[in-house]
Amino acid sequence: MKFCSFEKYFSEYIDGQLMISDEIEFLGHIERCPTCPSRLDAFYYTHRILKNVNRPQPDAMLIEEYANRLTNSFSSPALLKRWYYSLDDIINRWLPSPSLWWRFAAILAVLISGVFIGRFLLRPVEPELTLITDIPFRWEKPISNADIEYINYYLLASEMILLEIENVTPEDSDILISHETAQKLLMKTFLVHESALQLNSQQLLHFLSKMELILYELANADEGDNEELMESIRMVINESDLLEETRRLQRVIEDTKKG
Amino acid sequence: MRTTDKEELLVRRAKSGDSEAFGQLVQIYQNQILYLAYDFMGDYEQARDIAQDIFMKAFNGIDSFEQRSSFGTWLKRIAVNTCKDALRKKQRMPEKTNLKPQLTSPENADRSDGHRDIIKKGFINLSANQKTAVVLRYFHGETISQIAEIMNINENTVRIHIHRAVQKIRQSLRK
Repeated sequence: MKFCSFEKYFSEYIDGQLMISDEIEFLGHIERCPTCPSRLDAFYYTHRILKNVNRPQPDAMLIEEYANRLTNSFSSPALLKRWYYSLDDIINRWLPSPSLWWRFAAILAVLISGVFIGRFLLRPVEPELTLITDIPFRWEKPISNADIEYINYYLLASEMILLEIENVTPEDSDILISHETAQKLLMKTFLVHESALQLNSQQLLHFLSKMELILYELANADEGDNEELMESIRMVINESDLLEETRRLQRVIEDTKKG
Repeated sequence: MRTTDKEELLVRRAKSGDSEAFGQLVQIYQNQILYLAYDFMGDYEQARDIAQDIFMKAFNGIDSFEQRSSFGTWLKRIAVNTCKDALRKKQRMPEKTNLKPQLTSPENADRSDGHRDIIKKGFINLSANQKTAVVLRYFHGETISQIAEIMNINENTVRIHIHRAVQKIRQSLRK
């Protein structure tokens, strides 16, 4: 039996899957061809049987066993790997594929970061200084133990002088504080003032300004001015509550030393 | 996410060794592959074993999948080749009397006769390629171009296979 070249399109023609141009050509051929129409009828009959045939469904147990076997064969990976795959998904889905220049820039950035990190990690170790930074007095800058000791010493000396001034009576005509002592403490005031400036401690600076004034007056006092001078200094001490301020500062220093 | 996007993502993950992703692809295709194997073999027990074999082959060979076609097409190509191979082996073996009952559900037993007749009688004179083309076309609803892609042959050859196969089936069913 001779095979007509258009017969091969029967299946697609019946299913309506021919392109329009092919279908027009096919139909034109069918009208002219003496054999194709009858063969198309015969083909259509078998085609319909094949299309409508029902595949028997498998037994439910077989399906279950089959599904279980497949599930066991392709089980979940470890948690870490799953995270890696999820991250990989996110990167691949949300980040566009970088161009060559971006890749080059990324490599360069990684290299530069590596150099900086390496330099940071391999830097020479400097001798460690014992610095106290967290104290209730709110030192704004770290101070060394030596500074603390010096300030403490100064505060003790200041308290002694202030107490002496407070306790001197009009009968004690001889001033207990010599000019020399006042001058020495005045010099120390300047040094402590430097530390206070460096520390930017307003409380200490305020205290020192008062002490400086008192010590200056004491260092330059004449013999005859003692009584009046002591009275005016006592007023300053009382108004400013300077003794209490000295003690408060000492407590802060003690706390600092303990901390 | 579109199905193809999801599949692409799963394929990419499976290619990097993620067996769970491959497991999800298996879930999508497990019924189609089982039925395809059944349409070739006419026996669900054999079909089940062959389907499992198909998925193992696909998993082991996923690195060679270059994503020029869809995963489904690639998987069906493996399935078709595996089924053809299994059929060849079966034909070489002497026919055993099948004493085991067919594992089909009872409510489908009467309806299965037509299908089984076609596989037993109608397919007997078909070449492997004709059988493949008919199975894909009539039992799996694939288009001519999809079949050509699965079978890795040109579309006109597929059309000729189908036409000749239908003629042979008609003659066989008449007897």
